[in-house]
Amino acid sequence: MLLEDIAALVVWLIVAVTAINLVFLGSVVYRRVVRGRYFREKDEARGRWQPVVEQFVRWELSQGEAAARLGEAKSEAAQDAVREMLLARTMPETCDRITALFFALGAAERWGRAAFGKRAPGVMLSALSLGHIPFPARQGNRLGDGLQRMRLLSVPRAVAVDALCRLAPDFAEVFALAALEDAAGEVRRVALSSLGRNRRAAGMGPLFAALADALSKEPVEERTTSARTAKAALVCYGLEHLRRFVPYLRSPDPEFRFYVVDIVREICARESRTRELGRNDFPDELYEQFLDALAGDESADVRARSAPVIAQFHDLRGAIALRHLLRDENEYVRLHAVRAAADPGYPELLPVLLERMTDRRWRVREAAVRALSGLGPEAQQMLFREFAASLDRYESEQITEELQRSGLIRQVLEGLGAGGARAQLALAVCRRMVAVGRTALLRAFLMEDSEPAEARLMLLEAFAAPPNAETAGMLEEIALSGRHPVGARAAELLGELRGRRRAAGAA
Amino acid sequence: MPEWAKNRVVLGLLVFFSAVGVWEFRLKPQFRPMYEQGIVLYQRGRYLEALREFERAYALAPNQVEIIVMAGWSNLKLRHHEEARFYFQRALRIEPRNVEAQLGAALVDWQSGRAVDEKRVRALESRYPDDPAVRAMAAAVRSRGGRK
Amino acid sequence: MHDRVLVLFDYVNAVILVYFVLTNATYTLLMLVSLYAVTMHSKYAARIGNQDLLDSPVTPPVALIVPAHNEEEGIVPTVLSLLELEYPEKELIVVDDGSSDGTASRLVERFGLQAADFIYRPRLKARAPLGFFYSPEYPQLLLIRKENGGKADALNVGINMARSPYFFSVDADSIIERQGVLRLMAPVLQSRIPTVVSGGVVRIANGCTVREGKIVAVDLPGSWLERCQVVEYIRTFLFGRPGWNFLHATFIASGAFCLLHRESVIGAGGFATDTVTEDIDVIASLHRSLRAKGEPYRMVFATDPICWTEAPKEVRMLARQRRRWQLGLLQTVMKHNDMIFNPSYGALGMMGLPFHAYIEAVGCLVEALGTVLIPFSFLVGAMPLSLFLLLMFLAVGYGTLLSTGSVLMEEATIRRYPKISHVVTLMGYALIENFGYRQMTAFFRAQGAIQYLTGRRRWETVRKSGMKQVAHA
Repeated sequence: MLLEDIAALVVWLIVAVTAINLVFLGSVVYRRVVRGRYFREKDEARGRWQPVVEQFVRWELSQGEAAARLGEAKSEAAQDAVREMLLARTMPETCDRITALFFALGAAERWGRAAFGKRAPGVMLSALSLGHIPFPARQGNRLGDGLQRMRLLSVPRAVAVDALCRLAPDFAEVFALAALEDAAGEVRRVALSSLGRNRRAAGMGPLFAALADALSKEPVEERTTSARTAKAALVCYGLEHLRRFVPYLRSPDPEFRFYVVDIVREICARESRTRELGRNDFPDELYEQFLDALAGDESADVRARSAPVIAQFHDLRGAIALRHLLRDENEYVRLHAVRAAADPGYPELLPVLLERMTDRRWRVREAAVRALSGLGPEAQQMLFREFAASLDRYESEQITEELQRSGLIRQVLEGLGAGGARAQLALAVCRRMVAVGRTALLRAFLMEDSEPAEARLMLLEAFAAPPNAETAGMLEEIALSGRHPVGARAAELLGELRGRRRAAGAA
Repeated sequence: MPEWAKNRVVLGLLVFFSAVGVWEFRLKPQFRPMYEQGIVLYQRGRYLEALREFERAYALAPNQVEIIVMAGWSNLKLRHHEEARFYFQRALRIEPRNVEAQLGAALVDWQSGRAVDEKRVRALESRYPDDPAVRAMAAAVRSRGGRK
Repeated sequence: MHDRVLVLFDYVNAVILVYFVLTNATYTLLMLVSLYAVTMHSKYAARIGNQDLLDSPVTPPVALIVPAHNEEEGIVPTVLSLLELEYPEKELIVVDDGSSDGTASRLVERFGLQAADFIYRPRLKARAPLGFFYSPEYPQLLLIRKENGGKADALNVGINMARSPYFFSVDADSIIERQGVLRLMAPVLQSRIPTVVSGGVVRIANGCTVREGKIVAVDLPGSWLERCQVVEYIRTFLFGRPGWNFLHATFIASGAFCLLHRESVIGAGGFATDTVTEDIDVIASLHRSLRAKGEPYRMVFATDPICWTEAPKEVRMLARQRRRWQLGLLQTVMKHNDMIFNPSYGALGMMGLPFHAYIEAVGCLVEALGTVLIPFSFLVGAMPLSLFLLLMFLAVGYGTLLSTGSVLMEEATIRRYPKISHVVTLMGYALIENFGYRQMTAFFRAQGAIQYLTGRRRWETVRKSGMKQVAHA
């Protein structure tokens, strides 16, 4: 290539790059100006139409009047503002009216076109008939589906579907079901979330189908959504829907059964946060299925996740089933059973929980200790006595950890100064902690002058007997610290200790 | 085998540098042998044959100033003034300070009866006062202009 | 002799030319790919929020592991801001890696932590902790003190104590936006394929107003050095990483803000202590380990979760930082060199890793050499003007396009700088940084590469002045 040509090329390249840079700069400034204008218009629109929305929601304006006034919002910013204001006011008592208003404004139709393309008229008709007229099925082909999965095309559809699925549940359900046929996983994800949010019976089937699809062993496709998405949607359902879960609990696929059981568990966990559940909260078929089949399922994961559900039954059969699960051969089953049995409604299971404190798996031990420490004073006393008498190092370590994490250690230390049996038990606990070398908290307590002197003096006895190199070192440290009154007492104990050693040495 | 010899980063770099080297020194047509042959022929006075060699070298390396200048001189020797002017002008565009090209361009103008760029010749003379070719050119230009 | 020198110049110039052509071609491809991916993602993320994740019980717990060494100034605000992150269930583990200042005591004092004896189960090899500090009033928070062993060692200790299936490594001087963790978790939950890494964007907090560990106002820093770094970070995080992510060839996820799957990291051996950039190394190790197991997996990069960090204000500190990064990158690519052009690693082996090895890791030497040699060749007459201009264009001029393209992408997507003057300034610095700053950092990187080649592997401490906190208004 001739140098003159290279020179010309360089000049053109510089010109081109400069031009492109200027275009970028111009685009940036233009976009900033446009976005600034957009947000200003949006703010203005909010100010202008917020009163109209409020009046409409309060039934002070009819749908026609509201549509006529809100229909004056022509620009994108104004329409977005109106949409956001209306959606913000969508509640169970207002959603039907607001949905009708969206239809009257033409917004629903616009979203429908964006979401469903050629199918839009059929889907809209189906929605308006509340699903009585079925919507047309999607005709896909490999190439078309591939194009539809491109984010350039799928993101606008997902946004439109999301808007449609925020309408009244009757309509949202139709739109969500139609959107489930979309080629892109993103769109399907939005649809599945909506079905869960609306908690309608008709949505359950597709959600379980999506879950099965996600768990299938077929090669992964872009169209498929994750099991978590389906699960998160199904978890939105309530106890009143559990009857419909029963057929799925009988699925031959153990992984699917596991997910369904776990979903039931999550539903129960959410419901039990507000009130205690009982046998009568569950349909008979589900109750029997859990006790007869799932508690003894071949899959350990299913058995494990069944335990928390069974624990919600709060009856004798539930207790019996839990007792078996607490002694299951599989550690995860035992772990979940222990967590489930951490329920004041099962006092008869306390001895079994105590057994689990010496489980060979640390997670089960940890869970057992945590369960007991959270079950009230009686269980805590059992825990302290078990700990004090324990010779199992691993159990002792686990209990010490839980005493510290839960703050129960504070209770123990305060008990030192209480006198009587409580102080003796507290001292026994502290001795055991010293014996397993878990002394950091105890040392801090001893060195803290603001703590009660009687308790601290009592605690010193734990360090003195039985003594070892570490405790002797600690006594020396406390003695040298000069803290009153523990410093003097520590010096005495140290003196006694050294005396005993000399005597033993001489002997 | 040492570790570095099995390292793909090292191997990749070796492959890359080798590939560039192979291209530069083997595959890329080399102008130098033709250029040197042209110089030999020029020195023997066989200007036509020398020109052919320089033109072959020029086709491979059209931006090598030395080839362009020698092609200019060869054409000048053969009294192909237009061709010589083309080559010298090209050389000056690439290297405006090239002495040979400046001299050649002035000589072409002199021989073909055109106005010689006196400024350029004076500048050459002031920079290279001891160069006999420059002094001869400067004297010729002065004599044409009626000056000593 | 003269001829031989000329021949050598020709050869070296050819190498430099090919390097710049390859680099610019790759960056252009990345830019185009990223522009598409980032724009689409931000449209989606802007309209479809994360409230579902916040409310859902299936959102898994995460552990935020904060390795800290001599961070007494900023550690309390950092911990406070992390505790306030919007996420359903999290644990926060601060690992004091042998600080000689009051890092641990500040935390103990502020949160009323007490010494505790917890069971330490070392699934990953690391220096044993010296002590644990905990308070039942802040059950999410755990402070671990240990001997100084480096960031990787500290992270391994944190992983050993973590109980959540996912964890973050968070730098002690970083500020994560409130929904940052949720946004990082979103791709993990939404994919059918197990996602083991989710990386986010790191932005420069210099110039921003920080109050109680939160960014309350975004602004540009004052000095040219910091502004150039702002542009550089935008370029890296908005078209380097998303581009590689789109091509399924993620090789680097910033350790300052990255979500990882705990068991996968344990299976890969944790964070290695034989490189100075453990965050890069762990990604490579994960690829290796998961490919060996034949399990499907995914690594993603999302552009909407943002973490703010402090950039060096002095050239000296910048130099140390860049040397360290370069040294670490070289250590990592050399350590995992068998993955290069290895088809069993897919796009990573055939594209991502070769690019990072030859162009990013080693190429800095070519770039630094070119910065000197090209003008020198021209000045001594060994290179004609037009060729000189062409090379300078490829080395410098084209970079302006990439930088301004990044600023455009920032504007089209994240838009964290509120004023139009910010954006115009950034565009200006997108041009300026290619004339001097980039060459300077190329030299620092070349120094890092030379450190590797000469066997010097020490960690150079980058001193930061700490983000200025303003009092409550």
